[in-house]
Amino acid sequence: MSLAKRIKYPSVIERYYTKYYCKNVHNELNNDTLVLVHSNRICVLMLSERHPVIEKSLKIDSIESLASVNLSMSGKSKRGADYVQPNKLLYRIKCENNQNFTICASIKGRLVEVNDEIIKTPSLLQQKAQGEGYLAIFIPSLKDGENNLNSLMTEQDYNVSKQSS
Amino acid sequence: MVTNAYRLFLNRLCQSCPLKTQCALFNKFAEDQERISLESTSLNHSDIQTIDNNLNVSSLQHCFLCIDILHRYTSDEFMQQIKQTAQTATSDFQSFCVNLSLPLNLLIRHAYLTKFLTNFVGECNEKDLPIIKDQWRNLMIDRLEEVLHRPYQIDSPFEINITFDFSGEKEELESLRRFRYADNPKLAKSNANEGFTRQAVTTILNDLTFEDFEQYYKPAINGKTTCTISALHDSVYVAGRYNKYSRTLSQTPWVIDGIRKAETSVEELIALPISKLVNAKDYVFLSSGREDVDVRTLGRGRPFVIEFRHPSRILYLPEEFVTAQHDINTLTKDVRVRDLQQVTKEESNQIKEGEEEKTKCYEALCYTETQIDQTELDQRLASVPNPIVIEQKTPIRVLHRRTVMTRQRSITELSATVIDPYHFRLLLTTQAGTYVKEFVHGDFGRTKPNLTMILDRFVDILELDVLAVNIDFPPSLKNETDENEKDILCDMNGK
Repeated sequence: MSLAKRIKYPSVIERYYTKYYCKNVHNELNNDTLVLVHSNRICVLMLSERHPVIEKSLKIDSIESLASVNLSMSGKSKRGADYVQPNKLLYRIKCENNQNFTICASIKGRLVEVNDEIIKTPSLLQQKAQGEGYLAIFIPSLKDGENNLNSLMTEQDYNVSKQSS
Repeated sequence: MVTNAYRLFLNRLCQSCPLKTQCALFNKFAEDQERISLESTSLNHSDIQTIDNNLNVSSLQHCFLCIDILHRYTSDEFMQQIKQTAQTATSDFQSFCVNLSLPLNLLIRHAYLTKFLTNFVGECNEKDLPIIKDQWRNLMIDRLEEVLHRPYQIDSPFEINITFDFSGEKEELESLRRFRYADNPKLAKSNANEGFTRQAVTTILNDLTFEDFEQYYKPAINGKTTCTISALHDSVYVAGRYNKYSRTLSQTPWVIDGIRKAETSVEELIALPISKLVNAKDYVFLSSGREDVDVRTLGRGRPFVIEFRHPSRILYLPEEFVTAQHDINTLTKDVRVRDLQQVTKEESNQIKEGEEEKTKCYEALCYTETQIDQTELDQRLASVPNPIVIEQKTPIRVLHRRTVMTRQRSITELSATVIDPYHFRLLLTTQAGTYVKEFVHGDFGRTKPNLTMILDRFVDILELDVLAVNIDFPPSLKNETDENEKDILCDMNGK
């Protein structure tokens, strides 16, 4: 079987996830987050590609962690994990020139993971924004999994809204 | 209210009940009956009369002590019923055992008898009374062996269950309730729906005196005894190995809310043809691990065991499984089965044994967006330790149904062959429970180290095949000599 040379294959994100966006998180202008929704309803939170930290390559001084996963979480149904609201504070990104961004959950769901790697290596946010630089992982209930989508923007709508701004 | 149910001991038809004839104390009492004047006890004449009248009126007279278990239910007719039930359940059982289940009120009656005998004859304990189950077995087991042409064995895989029910059981247990809550009517109300266990009944009976019985116990004179016979043979176990050549077939049936989402599954393609041979109520499909829908299983295949429950036949010839295997393999090209054979329950446990230690071999078709040649590939793969130990956080794609944890796994062989500058085939041998896809693309860095890190470039997986599941079960069947050739052909052409 011979394979063509440089085919554009769908990436891991394209295979399993749908992109949704949350604008102006914590009422901070341009503080947009990206929510990757897996076909199994799990949500991975990341910075939007259009976030100033990425688009303007701002120098990050440090990232402060404002939340952690409940250590009593156990079992397949993740009993004990905190079920958070969209305004749950997760991180504070401190950049040069006193520019700070507060990252919130952006969706409802069980907080099952926060990414400690970005605290150690803040540059991951810029270099691997849609990979190792992820922010957190949530598991919403079946109902919330659907409802969350109503308060988020689809990729298309988001891109349109960013063009006009 | 005086009950003197003991009258029933004396006035029953079954003077010959083994429980009486085998009990020394009762025999003594019967002899003394003439001499002891029962009228000297404080009994109300009309009550005795009522009980006696009821005894005569009752149409279905039953033995008070054994509720007919040692009479009607030791007849030849009953034996034929047992034979019928047994042979219908499983036609070729090799031995049998019997399990009897008796209604709880018999405990009350026996306790009453011991108290009565203690009162009127001499010290009588539980152990002085014959046990119904033992008496029944004495009367029945030898005859059953003859009728069934099979030996009785206490650990037989074929169990005949005989459950006796008595319509007056609940009523008689009510007497116990009345005794228990005599001083505490409020508690009686709050425990209204309390069910009685054997243990509970025994405990309460320990506290009753003969006078208590006389006051509270009211036997259900008109109760009727019924019986349910059932038989169950241990499951039949069938083992084999399967290959999966389709990338759109799941291992187990895919049904959501009762609606079938996929036409069939590996499990059904294998089990349904076999279930035409092994006629059973239902089956359970177990395999040594599982592959994703889009992953093929090549080589010798993955071991599986099917447990057929409530089998109606338990003896099979090996040839019958060869035929069943042939049927499976001709009915579908997506699945192939080999080494199909009957195994024992103990042998079937091998499939789950050592789950953590076993290894599997895989081949993955990978691509990259930065060119790579064989030299660099070899170099980079050689630079990692052997075995390489990776830590995998639960992959996101299964996180909704798995515990959040980090698993350490080892990869013992890792090599690759370039196809073109952007594609290569990766060969690896991993510990059981390793998520190979995540090892390749890294799952957002949640599997470390991963192939993108090792090759220092973006890598993703296109196709995955299982080449070997390294477990030595079930044993290879001798007539599979040409199987290896078939293997290679099938693996290459997808059957």
